[in-house]
Amino acid sequence: MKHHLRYITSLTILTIIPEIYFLSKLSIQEILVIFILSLLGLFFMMKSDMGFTKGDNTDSRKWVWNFNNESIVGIKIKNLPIEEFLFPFVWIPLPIAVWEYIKHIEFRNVDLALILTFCLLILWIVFPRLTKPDIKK
Amino acid sequence: MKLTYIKLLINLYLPPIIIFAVCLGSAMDFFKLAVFSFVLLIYGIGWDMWATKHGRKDKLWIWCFNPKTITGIYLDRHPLEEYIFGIFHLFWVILLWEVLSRAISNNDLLTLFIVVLLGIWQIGVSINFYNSQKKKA
Repeated sequence: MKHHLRYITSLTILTIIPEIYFLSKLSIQEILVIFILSLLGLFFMMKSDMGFTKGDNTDSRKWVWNFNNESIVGIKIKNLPIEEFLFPFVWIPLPIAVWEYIKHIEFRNVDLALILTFCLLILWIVFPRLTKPDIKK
Repeated sequence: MKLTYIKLLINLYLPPIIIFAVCLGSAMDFFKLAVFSFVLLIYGIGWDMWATKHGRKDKLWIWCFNPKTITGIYLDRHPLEEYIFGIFHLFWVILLWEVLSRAISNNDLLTLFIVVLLGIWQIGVSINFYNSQKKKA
């Protein structure tokens, strides 16, 4: 049963918890505006997501992604897993809250260069090893 | 057919990004925004890579992509479109936030009107896309 919570658990740990932390630094008015933006995002993102997802409504030749029924809770709205509906409430508020948090920090060019180098190292060296498919012939 | 994903990304995100960037002009630190987006992109892509990992030992992948509807260009075994989505989405969110906060604080109704028009544009594009992806009865 635990594997059905895989998507929702990873979403909670990686995005919802940091989001709550960063949102707590903002004012009530700012959080309200972000919430309204998330509602707008919910509409257009979910509409396109429904078009992308393999299911009864989508033309079988045209789908872009498919969800594994073993890794999701199993509740679906128009073929879309319920977890997907959290997406706009995470990937709209989280970047805004982090941006507001770092906006007033004065980065020197050397700091930015260091951050970029670090990111490139992670992207090209660490991630490919972490996510290497373990297919054995 | 191979351009299904990338075409939607361009239609959905590029016009608002360009218009918001023009609205903000020199008031926005685009270099800082680029570094910020790159850092968050790596965070998101890492999760994405883990979620799409396939292998004999780990069959609990969360989602997978259809090679028939993506360009087929991969960076570290991950579709190019996912990187483009990450960058476009982060730029869109932050620029929208900056334009909105400036418009609200300056009582700039014209800019608010532009934001609403672009919101309608995005909803229209997603509805149109959803209808084009649906199975013909």
